[in-house]
Amino acid sequence: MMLVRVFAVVFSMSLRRSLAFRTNLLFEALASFLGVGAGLAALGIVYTQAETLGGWSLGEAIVLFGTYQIVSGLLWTFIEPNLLWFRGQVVDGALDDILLRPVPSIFLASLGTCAPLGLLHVAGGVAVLVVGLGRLEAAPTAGEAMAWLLMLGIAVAVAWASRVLLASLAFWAPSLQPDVLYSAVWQFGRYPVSMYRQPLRFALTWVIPVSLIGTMPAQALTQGASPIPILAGPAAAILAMLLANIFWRAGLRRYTSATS
Amino acid sequence: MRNVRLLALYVRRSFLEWMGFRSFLFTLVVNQAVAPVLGLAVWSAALPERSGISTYFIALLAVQLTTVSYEYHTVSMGIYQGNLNDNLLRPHPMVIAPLGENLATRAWHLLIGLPIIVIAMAATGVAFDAGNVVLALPALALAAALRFLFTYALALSALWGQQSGGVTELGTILVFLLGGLAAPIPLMPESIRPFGEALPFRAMLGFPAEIATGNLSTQEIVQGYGWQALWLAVFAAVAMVVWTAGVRRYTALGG
Amino acid sequence: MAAIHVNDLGMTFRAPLREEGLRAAANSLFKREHRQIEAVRQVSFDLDPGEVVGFLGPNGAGKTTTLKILSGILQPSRGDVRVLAHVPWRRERAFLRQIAMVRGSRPIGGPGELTVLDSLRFQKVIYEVSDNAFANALAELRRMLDLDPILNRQVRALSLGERMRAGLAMSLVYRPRVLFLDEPTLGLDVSAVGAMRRFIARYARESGATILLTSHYMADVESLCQRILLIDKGSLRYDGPLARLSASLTPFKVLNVEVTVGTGPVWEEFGEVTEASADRATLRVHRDRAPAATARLLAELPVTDLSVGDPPLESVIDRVYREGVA
Repeated sequence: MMLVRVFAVVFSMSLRRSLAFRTNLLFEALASFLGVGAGLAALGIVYTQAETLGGWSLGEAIVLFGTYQIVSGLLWTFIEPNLLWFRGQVVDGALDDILLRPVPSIFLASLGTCAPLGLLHVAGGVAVLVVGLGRLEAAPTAGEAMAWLLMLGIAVAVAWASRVLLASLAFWAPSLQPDVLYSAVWQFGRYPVSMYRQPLRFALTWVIPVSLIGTMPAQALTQGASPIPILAGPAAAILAMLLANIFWRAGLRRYTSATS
Repeated sequence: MRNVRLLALYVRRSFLEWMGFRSFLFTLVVNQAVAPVLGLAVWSAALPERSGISTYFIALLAVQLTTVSYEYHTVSMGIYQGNLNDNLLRPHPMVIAPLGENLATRAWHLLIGLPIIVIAMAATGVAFDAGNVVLALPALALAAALRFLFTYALALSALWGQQSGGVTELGTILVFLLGGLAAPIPLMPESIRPFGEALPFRAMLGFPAEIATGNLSTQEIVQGYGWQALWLAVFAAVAMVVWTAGVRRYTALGG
Repeated sequence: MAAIHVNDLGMTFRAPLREEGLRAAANSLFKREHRQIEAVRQVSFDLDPGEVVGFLGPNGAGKTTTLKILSGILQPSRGDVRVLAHVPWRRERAFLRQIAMVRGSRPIGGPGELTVLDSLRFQKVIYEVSDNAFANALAELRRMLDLDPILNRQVRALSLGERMRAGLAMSLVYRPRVLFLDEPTLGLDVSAVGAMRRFIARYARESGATILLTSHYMADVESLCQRILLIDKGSLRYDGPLARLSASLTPFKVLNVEVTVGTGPVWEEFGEVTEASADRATLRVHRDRAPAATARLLAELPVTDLSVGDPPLESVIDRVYREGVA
């Protein structure tokens, strides 16, 4: 399919370009290592004072942090480079270039470039995950690992959809800049959602589904795969992507008939 | 005296400039609020019985907004975009412009952040003791000055090359870990606590919040002020040295 | 069959009214007032395949809006448009693969960190150009646009002229049948402008593509286009050969007269004076009266040189832009 080929080309070109700038690569690696280290250290300090956090042990919390880092890294690599400050693209005409091309605009606008250096963050997340798995009482089974992968895919899909939805706001309210806000809220996903008190916990599960990127996939590994997320997850992901598509097209219709 | 008037001018100008970007400011403030609020959530979940956790983190939020420093974005990016030449031509010390911008930015952060602080206080039922707050105010001023000098010195590393992003990132991580954001210094493990108290990061962030929470003894407060004064002198000197050396290199090499 | 068919095209924008002051800002929260801007009204024209047509008009006349409608970026309020038998704003893939738009103000879209060659390869993939066709097109464009010095440079590091060349290459590598050029010589230096014009002329000849070109520079249009569309305040004022544009836009003729030194005639008696000094003048005369005015000048003054011609196109267009069609 042409879209797959486009995606592959985009990725390989970006990769080649990132590897060409070696000092930048080094700094990104260092920054990622330090960031992950700081997060782990912070977790560690909390656990010197408490046995569990929202019912999660240190090992489980580390698994959660690792999972969160992997999903964040994937978003940072593939989606953020395109949709961060989308409003700016609408204003200065970059969107017109996207519309002129024979590729679905939602694809080019959300996945048209990528920052392969973000994969370093994913690698950091994997390392943290391994550390956490080592501290669990029981190693996860193959089935649980599969469930984790599935939830990971769902997390990325829903995150993509929410990002596109947010960017589409620029079509209706170009003076809003919710990107920084959005990234800030995602930060809450690095801790178990059960830790938060009630109105917040509800918001983080159902309103802005931050629990999807950390807590739910990690739960597959730490507490065993439960049937509801596995069955409902893919449906939710598909629904979210459809919704994002609908909003995008609605926004595009407005853009192509109202702007000057 | 003239420099003070110039500073006031820059502050006013920056303050008015920001008026056009109120929605952007709002997102910046929320961004700054995330770490203290997260800290609040985590630590009150970890230590539900401990009093003062919520008080500390809400105080920390106020300190965060008062000491916020975006010098990487203003000074470093300014240097990378070639604005330094304009600044070098001006007939006043170069630090006045970024300082003025910094003060105006902080004023706006407080203005917009005040409702958030009030909501957080209402949500957690926290109340501050007026005496503690008064004791904390000088520390707050010192922390604000120190954090500016620290961030400014780091941002000036742009005069040496492209690495100021990494350097600033490192500084941010250190402030997060050791400044009282990741964990209140008094709650740090025994082995690390003395370092946490001595290092400049607490002096620029956590210390005023600790005073406002009311958990410090008089002796500890005095000691803390001592550390603040020391680090303030150190970083004032460092900033001057970095600036002089950096400008010499910049003007010799042409940026 | 026409390559581009436009019938009764109309585009009306709704722009919110923004007033000054705090009170107005507060009011606007509750009641948004709008004004209608008719950017394009009742425009109709047809372009045959292979035509190179100039699209003229002052700023804000509706040129860019029309181009955006033709390329599918905007959906018009009224009217019927077909480009290569497609309805542009449906943005069908088969349609988009055959058109290209190059804007002088923003020649290259897409990520700035890519090199020119990578951007070209990206075009190859999304426009589904075969390896063979791509190799041929690339070789030709390299020659015609002198791409070699910039092929391996990042797009964002290019100068404006280089970006125009790269932008043209990116648009032409998939051999579009319709090419929209929006101010292609904007901001280019003199030699680059000449090269650009030669390139467009050659490309039009060799590819048979239909080209619609907008420009503020009459010289662009004069050197490239046989046919002109003049749009002013959203309406089409003229559609026809360049040669007749001057004559149709203005009923005046220009007389350049030179007399023996020392005569000092009163020029105003003979016609409207555009320029005058003691012994030479430029007069504007209604074309019906031109023969009579010429005869009178010859009879009453010691004329040493006299020419009768059309006003320079530049000044005609300038007048149209400032005052509308006379």
